[in-house]
Amino acid sequence: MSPDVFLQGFSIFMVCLAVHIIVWRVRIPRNDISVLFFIFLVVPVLGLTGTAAVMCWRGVTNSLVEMLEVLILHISLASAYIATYPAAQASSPSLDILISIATSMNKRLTEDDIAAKYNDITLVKSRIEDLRGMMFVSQVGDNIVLTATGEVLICLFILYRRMIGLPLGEG
Amino acid sequence: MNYHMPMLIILFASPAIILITHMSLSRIWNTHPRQAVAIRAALIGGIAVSLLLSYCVFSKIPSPREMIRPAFYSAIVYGAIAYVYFHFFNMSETARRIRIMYEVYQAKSICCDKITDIYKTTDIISIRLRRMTDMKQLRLSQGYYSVNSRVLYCAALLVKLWRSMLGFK
Repeated sequence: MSPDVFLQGFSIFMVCLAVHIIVWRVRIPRNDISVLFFIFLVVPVLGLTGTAAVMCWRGVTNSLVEMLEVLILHISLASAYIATYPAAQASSPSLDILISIATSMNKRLTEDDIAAKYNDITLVKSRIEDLRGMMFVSQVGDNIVLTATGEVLICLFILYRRMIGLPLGEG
Repeated sequence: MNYHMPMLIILFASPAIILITHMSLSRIWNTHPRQAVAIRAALIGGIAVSLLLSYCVFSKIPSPREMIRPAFYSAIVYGAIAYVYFHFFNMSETARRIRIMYEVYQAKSICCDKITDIYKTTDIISIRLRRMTDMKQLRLSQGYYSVNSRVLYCAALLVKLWRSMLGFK
C-alpha cells in the first residue's frame, strides 16, 4: 500500500474541513446537514469518481484500487465528522450538564439546579424548528406532521431498533 | 499477491458485523446500560474484523514490514466505521429530534404544546442524568451530581470549542 493513499485521503478530508469552517464562519446554512453532506461526501465522491472515469478512458487502470482506498479513507473520516457534528450544532444537553456541574462553585449540582437552566423553548421547540428546517416535519394548521422523508427516516430508526431488540430510545 | 480488494471487502462488511454483534449482545445483556452494550459490540466486532483480516489478508503478505500500512489503514477505517455506528445508535437512543419525530409519527398530527406535554424538560434532564450515572460519567451522592470521569467532560469541552470555532452562539 502506497503512503500516497494516506496523504491523499487525509488531504481531501482536511480540504473539506477547511471549506466547511469557512462557509460556516461566513454564514451558517439554514439546511446545514444537507450542506455538510454536499461538502464532505457529494463533491469528493463525484470528483474522485470523475477522475477514475477519466483514468479508465485513458487506459490507466493500475491505480484504480488505490483511488478506491483513498475514497474509502476519506468517506470514513468524513462520516465520523458528520456523525459528531449534531453534538456541536444542537448543543447537546448531556455535554452542557457536564460542563455546568464541573464549572459550578462546589463542582456539584442537584437535579433541580440543573433543570432550572433549561426550558421547553431551548430543549424541545428549537429541535422542532430544526426538523422544520430540514423538512422532516411540516406545519398543517396548528399541528405538525411528518413529511414523506421524515416518515421514511423514523421508520428506518424503528426498524433498526427492532433489529437490535430495543424499543425506540427515550430521547 | 493482491490483498487490496479482500481488505476493502472486509472493511465494507464491517458495519454489518458490528450490527449482527450488537443484535446478539443487546439480547444477552438486556439489563446493561444500552450505550455500554453498543460500545462492546463495536469492540467485539473489531476483534472479528481483525481475525478476518489476519486470515484473509495479512497472512498473504510475505513480510511483516509490508503489513504495517494495510493494518494502519484498516484500523483507521474500522475505527471510523465503529465510531459512526456508535453515534447512529446513540442518535436512536438519545436524540431529541428522533424522539419528537417518533411522537409525531405515533400521533400522525400533533401541536407543539402537546409534544412538550409528553416530552417534558424535566424528563429530558432526568433521563440524561440517569444515563450518565449508569455510564459512570456522573456520580450521585446525597442528592448532588458530580463529574465522575473526565472522558465525556473532555469531549464536552472539545465540542464547546468546536462550536465556537464554527461560529455557533
